[in-house]
Amino acid sequence: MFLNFLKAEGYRASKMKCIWILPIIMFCLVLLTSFVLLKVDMLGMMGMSREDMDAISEQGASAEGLEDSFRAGFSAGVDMGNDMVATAEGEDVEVEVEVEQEDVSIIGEGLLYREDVPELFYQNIATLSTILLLAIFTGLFVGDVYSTGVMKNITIGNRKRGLLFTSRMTVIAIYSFLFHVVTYIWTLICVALMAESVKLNADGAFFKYFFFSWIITFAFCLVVAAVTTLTRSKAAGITVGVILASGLLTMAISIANMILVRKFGLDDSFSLANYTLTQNLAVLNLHSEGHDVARALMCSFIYGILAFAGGFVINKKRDIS
Amino acid sequence: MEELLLVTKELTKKYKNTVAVDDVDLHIRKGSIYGLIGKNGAGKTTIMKMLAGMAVPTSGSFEYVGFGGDNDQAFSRIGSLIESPAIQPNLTAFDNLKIKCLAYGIGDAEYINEKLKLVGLGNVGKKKAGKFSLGMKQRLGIALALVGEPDFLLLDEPINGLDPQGIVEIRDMIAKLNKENGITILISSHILEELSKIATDYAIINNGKIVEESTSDELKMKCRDKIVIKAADTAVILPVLDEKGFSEYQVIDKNTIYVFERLTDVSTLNMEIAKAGIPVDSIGVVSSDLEEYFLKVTGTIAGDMS
Repeated sequence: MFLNFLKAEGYRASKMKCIWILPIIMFCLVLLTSFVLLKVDMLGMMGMSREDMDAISEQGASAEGLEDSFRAGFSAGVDMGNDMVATAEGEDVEVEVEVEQEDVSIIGEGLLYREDVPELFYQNIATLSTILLLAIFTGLFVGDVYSTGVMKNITIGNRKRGLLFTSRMTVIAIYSFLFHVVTYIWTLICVALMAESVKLNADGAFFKYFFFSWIITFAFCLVVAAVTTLTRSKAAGITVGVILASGLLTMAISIANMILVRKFGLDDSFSLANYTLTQNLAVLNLHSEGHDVARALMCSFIYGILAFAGGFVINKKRDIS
Repeated sequence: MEELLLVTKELTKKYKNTVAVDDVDLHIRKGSIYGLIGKNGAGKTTIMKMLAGMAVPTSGSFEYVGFGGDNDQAFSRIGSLIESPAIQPNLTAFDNLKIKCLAYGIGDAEYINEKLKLVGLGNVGKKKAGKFSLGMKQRLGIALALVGEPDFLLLDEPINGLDPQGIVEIRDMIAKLNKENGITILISSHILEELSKIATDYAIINNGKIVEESTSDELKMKCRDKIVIKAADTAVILPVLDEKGFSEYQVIDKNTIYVFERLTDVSTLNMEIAKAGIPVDSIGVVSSDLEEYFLKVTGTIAGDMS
């Protein structure tokens, strides 16, 4: 019976327009991010060369190193404008310096121009666009059940509502996974179009990152699904999802963090944001170490299980209307 | 007595402080069209929701005795159209049916088209269900209820909002499903005249309570034209009736007798009772249709039905 429900829910999902529209929007977002990272010459705009950047990396990206590099770039006389006149006023002296400008194009080698596909994929996931769009899908898909009352038709499922809910969440899991795959394909296309060369580098670190980031994404979708189930409203689910994904709660989390630190005498390094799904998704990368990965997975499982259990119980206990 | 399909025992549903359904006992026979009559808010839909497994009773129980008493098993043999048809407006009629078919593990296109033809939607093509007329949506709702070949159909106000032609078509379809497919149907409505044309059994519900449960014949008897005699003591009138050859009469209570024959002889009968020296408070021919009867039984003021 689970398989039948899964087929029915899958078919319902496949008939939603957003299932096709969201990947198209994702393509636009990936294209934009990729363009900025692959083709916009950020270093040139800052008056730095790639060698300077490498030097910074070697110095551990220290503030001192960064300052040195900026100074080096400025001394080199590379600027963004055309003719620039700088005026400095002193107490007695007025000096006018005229600097000859070069024409500089912002299009060139971006920060990740020479990087591989997994690195750009990570950057695209870290923008949180995927969870933003998947929050919309989840809200629409789950909310549709309540706006159309489709569950009323499936009398056979009235005593197996838990199974029906599980099949619905399975569809979300499958779609979010496919969305991840599609995001990777879009990234690959962008790399092929704009990067120096296509370096797949599909090693263990990439697959681990792909899988872990999907786990966090799916846990996030479960939270949105639980909110939608609780409120029986597409709008509520999507709104909560978008607020969480867009970081609109950052201020509230910072305040809560401050209160926790003061009230319970926690260490200053404690950050409540580290225990949110969005922060974990933004922070987790291809080179994350065991501690960060463990925290991300732990958060995903806790949020995911609580959201699933909540939705499951509500769905099972509440009358269908 | 015919075999029963469903029995409810003191079925009750409370929402916070409101009792929507109060100690309801229903007895639905296999093969019957059971009409649930009541004004809006009487509790018809809530009863249906509980019987379809959509709502959990607060107390009491129901048993699908005709399906072996296993309610979980019974839900696979039930089709329902409760409240408005639950359709996906952005999908075609075919796709709407396909979702339910997949959930039931049925599913070739021929089966779906057959169901659509059965309800008169065989030629809607790719038109989205959201653009259907009210009647077409109701038909689609019935088609959805018919998926899985149910033995018991719960139809909540299926003719609501339909034009006269639509009402006749839906009514004929229900009668056909009952006769040809042997489907037992529980149908609710507050359009009593329409219900009276197809129902074989009735339950009248008011404020969550069943006021009366009867067969169509019993109800017709109660609603038919009759001479109503009101007197202080009706027992003394009975010998007069017997003597004058009246046999089809019914003593309702100590003060009321219904006579169902020779309605044109009312003045003669009045004279004969007077001759016997029996004072009569009132005598006359009374005719009432189902609606009037319902209003009387439920104590509802005319025009307050909906």
